[in-house]
Amino acid sequence: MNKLIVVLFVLANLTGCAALFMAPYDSNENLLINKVAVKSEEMKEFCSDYTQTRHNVTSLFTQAKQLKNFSHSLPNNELTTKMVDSLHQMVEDMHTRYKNEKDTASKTYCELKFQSISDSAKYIQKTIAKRPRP
Amino acid sequence: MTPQELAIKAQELQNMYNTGQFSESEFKELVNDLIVQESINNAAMELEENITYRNIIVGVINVASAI
Repeated sequence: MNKLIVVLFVLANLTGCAALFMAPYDSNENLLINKVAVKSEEMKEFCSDYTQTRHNVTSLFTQAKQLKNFSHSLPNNELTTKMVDSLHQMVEDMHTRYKNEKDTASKTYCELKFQSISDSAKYIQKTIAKRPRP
Repeated sequence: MTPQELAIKAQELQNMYNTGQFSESEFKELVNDLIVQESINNAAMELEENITYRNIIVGVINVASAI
């Protein structure tokens, strides 16, 4: 019987089976994604205040960087890091726009952008919650 | 996001741009976000598939070990 188990493991390794060797569910990673999802949803309410939004975007960018850094530190976590990198890119684009001291971003852009970030973060969170428990 | 939902969102963005609700560069960035969201969806689907396959493999290994 041990032979069968060995054969199964060898087969899994030979085919580069990412499915078998994936990072388990990580509650810290889930917490960081949740923060991005909840904060971006809350921040949407302040889009008419440019100065406040500028401050909020900087804070959200820090959260996204923490999430990206943490996800990349987990082994066998390629698909999640792919999603997290995309989310980080969305926040970084917004951060670049709001770096400007002058009020250049529209309220509609601000609301739609926060909504996209929040929706994406929730979607990622829902998916990674299905990963096997350690 | 389904292709239909994607098309509806893209159309909404274009309508908003046409009615001057945001600038050209903002419009471009928001359209690009739709593509980014689609890539997130694809990676999420791949991860879900992997989770399913993993559960099958682990199940077979457990049965084999129990015999």
